[in-house]
Amino acid sequence: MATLALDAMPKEVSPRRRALRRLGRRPAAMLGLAFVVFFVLIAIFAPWVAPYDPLATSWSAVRKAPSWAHWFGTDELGRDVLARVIWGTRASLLAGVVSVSISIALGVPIGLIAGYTGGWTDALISRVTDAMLATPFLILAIALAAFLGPSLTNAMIAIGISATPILIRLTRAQVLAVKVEDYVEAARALGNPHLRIAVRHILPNVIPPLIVQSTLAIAAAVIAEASLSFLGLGQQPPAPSWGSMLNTAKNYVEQAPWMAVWPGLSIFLLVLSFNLLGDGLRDALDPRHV
Amino acid sequence: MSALLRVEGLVKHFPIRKGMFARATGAVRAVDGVSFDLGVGETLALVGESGCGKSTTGRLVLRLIEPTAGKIEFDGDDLLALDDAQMRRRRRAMQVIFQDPFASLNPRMTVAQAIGEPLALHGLAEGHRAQRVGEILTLVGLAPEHARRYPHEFSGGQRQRIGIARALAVEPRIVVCDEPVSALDVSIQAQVVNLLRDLQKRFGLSYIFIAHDLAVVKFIATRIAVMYLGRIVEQADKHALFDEPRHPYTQALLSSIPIPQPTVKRRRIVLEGDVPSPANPPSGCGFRTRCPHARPRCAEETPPLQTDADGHAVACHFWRELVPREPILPGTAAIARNPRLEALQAAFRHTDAGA
Repeated sequence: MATLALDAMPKEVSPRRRALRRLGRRPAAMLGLAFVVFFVLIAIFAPWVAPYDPLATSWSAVRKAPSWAHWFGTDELGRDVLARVIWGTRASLLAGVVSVSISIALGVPIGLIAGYTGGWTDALISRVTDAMLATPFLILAIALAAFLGPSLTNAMIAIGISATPILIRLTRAQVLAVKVEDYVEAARALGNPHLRIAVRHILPNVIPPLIVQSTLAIAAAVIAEASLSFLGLGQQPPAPSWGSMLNTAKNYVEQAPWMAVWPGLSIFLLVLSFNLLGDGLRDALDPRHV
Repeated sequence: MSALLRVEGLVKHFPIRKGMFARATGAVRAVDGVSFDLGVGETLALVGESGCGKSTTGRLVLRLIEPTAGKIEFDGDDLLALDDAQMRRRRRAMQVIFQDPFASLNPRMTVAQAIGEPLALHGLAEGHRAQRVGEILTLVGLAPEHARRYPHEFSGGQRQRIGIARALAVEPRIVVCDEPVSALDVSIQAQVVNLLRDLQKRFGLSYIFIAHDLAVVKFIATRIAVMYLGRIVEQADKHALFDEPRHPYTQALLSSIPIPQPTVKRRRIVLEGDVPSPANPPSGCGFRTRCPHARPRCAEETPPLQTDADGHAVACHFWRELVPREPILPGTAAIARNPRLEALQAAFRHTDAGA
């Protein structure tokens, strides 16, 4: 009978576990993941890892080149660059994760409503989204941040709102594709209310591309936060952030290049690792790779 | 016999929108005035080519899409008068089985979740739901242990069994089977059709069986409605329809059934051209553009579906004049005995029994 063939099969695997297994086979993605984990650990344990107080100035050690005492050198006020890069990881990661969380919290429900209900609601949401997408991401973030006032929190809100239209559009497109599937019609035929169809049957099936987009959006948000801080709209001095460190360092690029190199390299590495992870996730979550 | 389901003058026009302000410039007449009754324990087969509106009719009956006009009466109640919440409760009595078993199951729900959900929605089997899911799985020829698995771990035939289990979980009275076997291998088709028939006998289910494979229809149906361009052109008891097809379209359909008798001579009726677009159907009889017997009257006047005393209905002005001279399908008597074929069939039966 039909039951025989299955008895020899291994234990059941959920779609999520299969995707993780596929991700594990991708060296580039695992390298990205390793760096992300590394940065997260650095951010969490900053007080213990940092060799100095990131705010402690020293007039006897202004703009010193890297040495055994100061591995990454010192800045124009004699603060240890390594300590500031380590503490700056917090601002960058926080900005990346919090702002993307804001855009997910806004974008996914709005996109779900637009895609599922259609009609006038969809037309209205889509036109507003189009208008926001017509403005470049960074310009919109700068405008919003300037409007809200300079602080790390406001920078995160500004970045989050600016990244929302992409998530709305992506969610809506995915919902449009999924809602015509037979299993959604089956859910309706079984007597599911609309809210339950949207949340239980459609949402879980649109999440994979959203995870990929979120990972890539974190990378973009890290750059955006650095840019805002560079312009003085993000993390406020003297608190360290990679962007504001670059902002100060630009005045001393010839005399003290290490002031710019280390935060720049950190931004580069963090963004690269999020992108590698995102690309790997995209491949691993693609249902066509079964 | 009083009908469990009564459909009257069902119409679905999908508007064609064009231009800046999305004005409706026309309509696709997917279903254009369909009426039928369905009794308890009966199977009404809707047959016809792709695009003739048979699947749309199935979805309209379930109110998965809203009809443009018409009446659907279930057990004496007007379904179209129910509001959203009332309709959701009523869905328990009317279920659907889909064509593609790979698309009809949510890939992120285990079998237990897929079958348990309708139970939860309708408040059935409270307290012993897991056990009930196991029972239902056994009923469709799967094992209770399969409940923990995900759809991708099953074959097409097994998935279709899960789809059937999900539909039957709420103990429906009518099941719309939308080409339930056309996506399956021929060997699996027989298993699934047999399962559907066993379940029907056991629970007194009524089926609306949408299909284009007439061999399957001949096996499972009690009555057959032949659809063409959104209308029923002929409706009759299965035997009456196969023995005495009256509409020229039905005759052409039956003449296309392959028969496992290579030596039998038969007349094939081959239709020319394509089905006209339902957005721009021909005047009068929809079939006249391809009908070998079309006359001027067919273009002027739409033939109504007229039922005779035996319940054999046909929509053709001239069907009385079109009785074919020889039977379209050879009867069993007409098929000469072929000893070689019988020996071959016997050999296969033996291996079947031995396996």
